[in-house]
Amino acid sequence: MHLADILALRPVPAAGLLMALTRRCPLTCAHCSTNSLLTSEEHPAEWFARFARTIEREDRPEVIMLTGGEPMLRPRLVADIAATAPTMVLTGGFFAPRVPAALAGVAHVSVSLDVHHQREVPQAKVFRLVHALAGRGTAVSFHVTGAGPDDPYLARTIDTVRREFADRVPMLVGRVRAAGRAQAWAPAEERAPADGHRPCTMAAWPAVSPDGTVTACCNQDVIDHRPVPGHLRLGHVATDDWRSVRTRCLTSPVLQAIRTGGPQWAAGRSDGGYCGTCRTLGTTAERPRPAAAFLEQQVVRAQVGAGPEGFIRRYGEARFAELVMLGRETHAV
Amino acid sequence: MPFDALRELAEAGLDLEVISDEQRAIVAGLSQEEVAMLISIQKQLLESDPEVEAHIIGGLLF
Repeated sequence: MHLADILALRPVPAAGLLMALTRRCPLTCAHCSTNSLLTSEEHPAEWFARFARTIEREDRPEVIMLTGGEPMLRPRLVADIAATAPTMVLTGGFFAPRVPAALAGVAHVSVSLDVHHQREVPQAKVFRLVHALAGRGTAVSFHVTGAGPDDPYLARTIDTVRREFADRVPMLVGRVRAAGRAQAWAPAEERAPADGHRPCTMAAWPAVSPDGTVTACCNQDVIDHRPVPGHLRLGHVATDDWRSVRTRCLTSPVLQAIRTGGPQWAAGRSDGGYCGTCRTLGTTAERPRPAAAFLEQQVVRAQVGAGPEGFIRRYGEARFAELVMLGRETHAV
Repeated sequence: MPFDALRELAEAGLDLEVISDEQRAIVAGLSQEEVAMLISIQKQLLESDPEVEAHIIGGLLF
């Protein structure tokens, strides 16, 4: 499953499921958005495994993305979940260059590559890991993070990866955000559109937090803070099943409105910022119109039409958007 | 000329061929503001202005 195929699904409601299996991580990167340590919170693996077992073939997500913390601290859980639906793992690669057996059933492995990770996991080891995975037929990619489009680290690293892997391994290039440990030093940014009409793609896939709460949004503030605003809470992995979570995600009028015109459009006001306005929305949208489904459908179609590169132009480093397509034409889906 | 949601959307390039008669009736009832919103989003997506938000989980843009 190529990175571009996964990103192409990102605007489609409930086409994917994000699961943060633990907040723990053996690395101590200065930019860690989840503020992870080896002693961070971790909840029973059985909660997450139980939830995954409720996924049935007819309405399963097209991809489950496992993250953390470091998801590979729970290899058995990763393997169990990968048995239920096509699964992507985002890892810092602390185990590199060794390939853990738990990755055998995983459809896609994406490895973090940035100046902070490289201090703890040398680039050469990461490259050996990715070569080994690709050699076994696993789809691979890099998640490259820098300080901004002009960061010389990005240009250097992208060039190195392109040469090392002969343009066969895609890259998703992003920027360090002011969250977690990076909050102390990374610039906070929020650029909302002038007219307030901007669909929120981030409300398309349910996200499981490390504490098992399922939210409609993967914004780190929503993942980290409790209580979750009522309209963004879809359930809990210890007690709910995928079908209920999926149904809530798809049918909530307020989520439909957020995905269609953005939270400011849903609220009919734009004074609180984009995500700030979202957090203040109630459980009922102010716009529960019969046309809601049509409007959402059109907006999703427009986003899908913009493709994986369109998604990166909106949410990642626009200058490097085309790198998500590397290796796409030669990769068997 | 009275406001015609179907005409406005078609002129903006939205594909209305795929919708059923029932949906067509719903679309015809869209307000001027809703039609403007749809057209505005289509344009924004084509222009692809960078949009920066703290949308991250595990450091990933997903």
